Amino acid sequence: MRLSEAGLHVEPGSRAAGFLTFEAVAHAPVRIPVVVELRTLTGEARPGISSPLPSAVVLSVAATAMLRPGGYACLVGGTHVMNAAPAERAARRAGPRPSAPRYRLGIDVGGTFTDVVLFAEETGRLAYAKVPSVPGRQHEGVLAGVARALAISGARAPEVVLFTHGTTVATNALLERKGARVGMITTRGFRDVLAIGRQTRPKLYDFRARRGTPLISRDLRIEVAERILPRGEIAEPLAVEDVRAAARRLRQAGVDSIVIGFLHSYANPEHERAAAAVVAEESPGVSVSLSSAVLPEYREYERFSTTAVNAYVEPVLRHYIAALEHECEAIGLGSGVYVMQSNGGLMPAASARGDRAVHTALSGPAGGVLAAQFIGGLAGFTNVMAIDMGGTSFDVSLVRNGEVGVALDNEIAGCPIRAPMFDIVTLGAGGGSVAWIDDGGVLRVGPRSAGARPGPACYGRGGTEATVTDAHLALGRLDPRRFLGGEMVLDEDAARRAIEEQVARPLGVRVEAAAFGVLEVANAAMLRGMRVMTVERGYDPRDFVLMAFGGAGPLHALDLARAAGLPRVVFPVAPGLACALGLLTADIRHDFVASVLRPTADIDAAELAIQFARLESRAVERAAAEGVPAPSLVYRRQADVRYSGQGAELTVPVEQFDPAPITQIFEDAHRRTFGYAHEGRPTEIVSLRLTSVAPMTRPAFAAQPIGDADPSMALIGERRVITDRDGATAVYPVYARDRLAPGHRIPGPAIVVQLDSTIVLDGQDAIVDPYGNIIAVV
Amino acid sequence: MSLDPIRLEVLRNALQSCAEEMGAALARTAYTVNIRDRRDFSCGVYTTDGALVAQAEHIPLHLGLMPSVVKALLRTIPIERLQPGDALVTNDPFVTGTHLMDICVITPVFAGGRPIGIVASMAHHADVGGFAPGSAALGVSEIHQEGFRMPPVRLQDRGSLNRDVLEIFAANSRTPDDLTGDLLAQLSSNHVGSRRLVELLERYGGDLPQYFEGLIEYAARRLRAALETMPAGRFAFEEVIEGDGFSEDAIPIRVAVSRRGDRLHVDFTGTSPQVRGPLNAAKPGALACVYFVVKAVFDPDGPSNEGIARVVDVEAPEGTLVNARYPAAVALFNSVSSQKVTDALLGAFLQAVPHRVTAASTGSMNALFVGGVDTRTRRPYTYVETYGGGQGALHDCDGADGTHVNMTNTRNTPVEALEIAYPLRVREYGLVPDSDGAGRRRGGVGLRRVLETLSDETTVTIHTDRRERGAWGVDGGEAGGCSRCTMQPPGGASVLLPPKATVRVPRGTIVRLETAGGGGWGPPRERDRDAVARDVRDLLVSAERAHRVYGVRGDP
Repeated sequence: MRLSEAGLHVEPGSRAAGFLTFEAVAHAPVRIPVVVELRTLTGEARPGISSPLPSAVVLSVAATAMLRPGGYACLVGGTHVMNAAPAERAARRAGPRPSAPRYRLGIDVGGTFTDVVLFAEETGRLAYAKVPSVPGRQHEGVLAGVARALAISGARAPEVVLFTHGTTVATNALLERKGARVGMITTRGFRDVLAIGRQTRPKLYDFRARRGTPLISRDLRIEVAERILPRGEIAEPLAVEDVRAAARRLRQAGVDSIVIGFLHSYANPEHERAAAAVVAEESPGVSVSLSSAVLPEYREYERFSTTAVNAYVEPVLRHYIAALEHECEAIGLGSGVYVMQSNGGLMPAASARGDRAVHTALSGPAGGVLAAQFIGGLAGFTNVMAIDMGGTSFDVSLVRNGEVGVALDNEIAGCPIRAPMFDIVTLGAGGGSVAWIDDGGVLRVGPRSAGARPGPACYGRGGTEATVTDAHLALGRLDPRRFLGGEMVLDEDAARRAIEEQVARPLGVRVEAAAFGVLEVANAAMLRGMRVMTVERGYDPRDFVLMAFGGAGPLHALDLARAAGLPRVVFPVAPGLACALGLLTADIRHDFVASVLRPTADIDAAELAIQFARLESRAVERAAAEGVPAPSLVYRRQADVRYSGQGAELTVPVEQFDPAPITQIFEDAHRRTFGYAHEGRPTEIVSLRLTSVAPMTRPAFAAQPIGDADPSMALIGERRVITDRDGATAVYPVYARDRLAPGHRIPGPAIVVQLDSTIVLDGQDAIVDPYGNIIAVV
Repeated sequence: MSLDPIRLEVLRNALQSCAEEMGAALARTAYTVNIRDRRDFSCGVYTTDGALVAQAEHIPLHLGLMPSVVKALLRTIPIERLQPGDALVTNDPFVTGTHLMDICVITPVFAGGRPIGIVASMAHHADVGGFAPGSAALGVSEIHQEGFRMPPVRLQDRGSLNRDVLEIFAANSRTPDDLTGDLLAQLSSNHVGSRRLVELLERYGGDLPQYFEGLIEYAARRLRAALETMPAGRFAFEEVIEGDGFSEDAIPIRVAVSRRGDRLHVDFTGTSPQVRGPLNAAKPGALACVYFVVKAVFDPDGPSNEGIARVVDVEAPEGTLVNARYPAAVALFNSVSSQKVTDALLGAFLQAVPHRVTAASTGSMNALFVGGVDTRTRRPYTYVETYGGGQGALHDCDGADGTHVNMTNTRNTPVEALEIAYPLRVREYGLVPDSDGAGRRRGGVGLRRVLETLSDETTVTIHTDRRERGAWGVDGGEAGGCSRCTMQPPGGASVLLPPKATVRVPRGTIVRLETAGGGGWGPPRERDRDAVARDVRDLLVSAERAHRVYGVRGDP
């Protein structure tokens, strides 16, 4: 007989109920209830057992995470493992203690520029640098940006106590298919799971549309004999010699990363682990990703695909991080590297290796969403829709009740990834989006973009196509001499000519009507993205304020807010630096999931507690490895619940270890989302989720005192702006953003110009808040 | 009045997202694997006359059905007799044009007491009674043997659910809870659509109907423009179905296409009279195939709406396979005949615009229905699945491997989900090597699924085709590999099943289904050697066949 399962949830100083499960060969598992007493919170963990147990069993408690700081115990194969001090040791060794930083760096690597924001703890002052990105050698751009930012602010490298980094290394490896050479070892009969996917074609009417090619070619997907059933029973033992042969073949094929993915491994990871051990013997040093470790959830295609992405980006990321850490060390930076994950949480660079590499797949834009959350919080808005409109794309994201929406099912470059990512909808609509007339005589805008070269017609770089930026210029909404801080003078005539020739004439309308049309059609596409983020998820847009990021976002924000029904627009101080700033506001965060797949009615409070306790022990283990003291962890517990038989789950919070309220909360959520609930119909819990957060102290921005309402000190001129399709005009005063001060009240219509953006207020009045944000009422 | 082209585009987006939103709500709230995981449903927005304005891109077959169904339904119950809060339901194939399992729920949308439009959803339910689980058995010869038929009736009456109707549906299904749960999911999906439509009216005002018409005309205009590229002449083709389950005699489908000015004429004259087995279609089924092919060939990016119907004339003589009379049995039109009608149409267009079509593809939806009573739970179950196969090659690109083609695009059931939900074990799921139609561009390979039954007595129905005649190639390209389904009871020998069959099997039976590959394009020996070598390396083409068929020898 052996102990296969044990767990208890323990509250400090309390008795807790739980169970132990024993398995005997050829018998059904035996479950024995136990009661454990814990002496103190910080004292030695000595679980006592009040019920009789077979003497040969070693007791293990899965939940002693909370027992003492930095110590944890977990169950490994029926042995009691006690691990006390390493967390504290690691914490001392690691650079930043979240308590006493001086300078913090946020570094966001974009396609064109690397943005660096340096925050001085003492003064609350921000310095920033923009340097060209170095494709393929991102770390060089990063270091150049760091050097520039340090020079600007007079800071020294050792004074940097937090180095946060949004990276596109993993994203680009996927998009450009430049990841590792990956092999796979899988269950016999199922090597093609990755190739078949869901057997669908991506576009219904396009004979040439193809699913993404798997990251692992067929000859490198090798089958081995083994079989596990839905409840984890082993139907066929793992053929170790098959695994050995597969590992050898993959080694000969020169793979540097291996996926081990077996059916139903979410229910029983034993075979995957055993196979990993064999691979480690055969090919020491090769990167190994287990599907049961990367994503322990049912549905094999999504699990294998997510694991394949992990395996594909892991070696690339590992290499990049090593290079970056090396250089950071060389200049004596006072902090280790912290990497942004797709879920908006930081992790120490060391954790980005191994089975969490996939979590950096959408590291880049997450910072912007955090910025919306942070700035919104300062300004007193907990419901924020952030739009980020640059030259080619438009990102929408949502902060609701102060929290960012997270999507689980994602796809990047044709590779499904089931991992929590900030819920961001991206559309091909930007300032460079090209306007055109289609075969049916209808005006369309995008998704093709004129990019930065040749760019819109008005850039005067040889572009002749009419773009969204040209439409703004033709209507007088942009000042040709104050674009990008005056670095580039725009050609108004070229813009007008392009709109005239490519839009107005074919449609038979005035050029003004055509320019408005271009903006309206562009807005229509963006509105659809905004709608997806709100109404399609059951949220009322009227409950949100709009926050405008990116060079072009502030030009469209008011029109979009009006059409979508958002009552206010917030224009932050530096719309173009949102991502880098947001990085400075992140916490260390990890998500863990356990597959349950059983009726809620069959699950009692103790089991719920035990399941979460197991997840917590994983969180504590991870924290120990990262040097984070366990007591500082804050947990959020959630359950994926559905009506038995339903296909899609709703994720609901678990406030207490009691299944009854979970059903209640689920039904409320179902009613809110879909308009009805089947009361009395049984529900089931599909998965339990634990998010562990090690909070970092936020940079403090001081509110400035509110001054005079009269903004005339910022008035720098005026512009004639076309206000309707018939060509009527009005004179708009022009204000300089850097001269506006808290308390200033700007009567609309008006234009506000700044280095990285332009704001157009039509009928609306706006005020400058104590943090320098401009807030307009729609 | 003249329409504002900008608002037209705004509304096109808005209506499209309305239909998509309906689909998202349906998938998330449905119970059966077939609707929730495999997404075998469609949602659309209509004018008050029943003309389709916008449809979410779900199942191409439904694209053709959806324009007809609401109109047909309104002939039974005119819109004047409908009130706010009403919803109609029907699964009558002679109204819907599809089979009994596809249940259509239609909700008229009112604003200020006046009807402004209609939203509808059509979903494939797991079981509506009849001869065998899945309601798609072979061996039947009239609609009444196939299952339960509900004429258009009110499922919801001025806002309150008509429980009587729900009970009738429930009493006639082997899986009553799933069926009623899924019907309610359809109602809620329609509810979501109605709300959006009313919001649009509030924003854009009373001329919304003119814009609906504008969008339909827009689709028609695009298609007329695209048709100009089709040369003059009459292009005819014949395809055959391999039997109706009673016999394996070939059933011919004949079709000819020709452009007449700015209209397209499609003529099915010469197609087989309606057959005894359930391969027949009511006319909307045939229209669906025509609309799909026309859109794919001429305007894949255009809106999916009534506009296509305005440009295409279809002649489908009554009493034939493609316009059958009551009481014809129809269950396999979708799963088999529709894919063959599509290949026939592609064969005709091949002669007119060869570079825009594929060689023949897998030729059916390769449907498998497994049902009975789950011995673990003592509850009845029905597992419904359609499998992809090989796509036919194009002149400049290989056909896709193991994929749904043409009239369907449902997802597969994950192996793990299948084993959790049903008393079945999956032994194998993969691609079938050497099933490609060889060619300069090769056809896609088929799929293989091997299942073991774990319940005492199980009924298995298969709908396949291309068992004898592989998918035809083009221009010297070879035919694709054939489909094949065997069953092997425990301790017994493996038995080859007919392409369309319903059988009862004992516990422990191994059912092995292989789907047909796609046809090739151009002489195989002209195929790029590296491409052959890659297929050999990937074990999709054997070294022996690479040498014999493609003329590529040796270790790749």
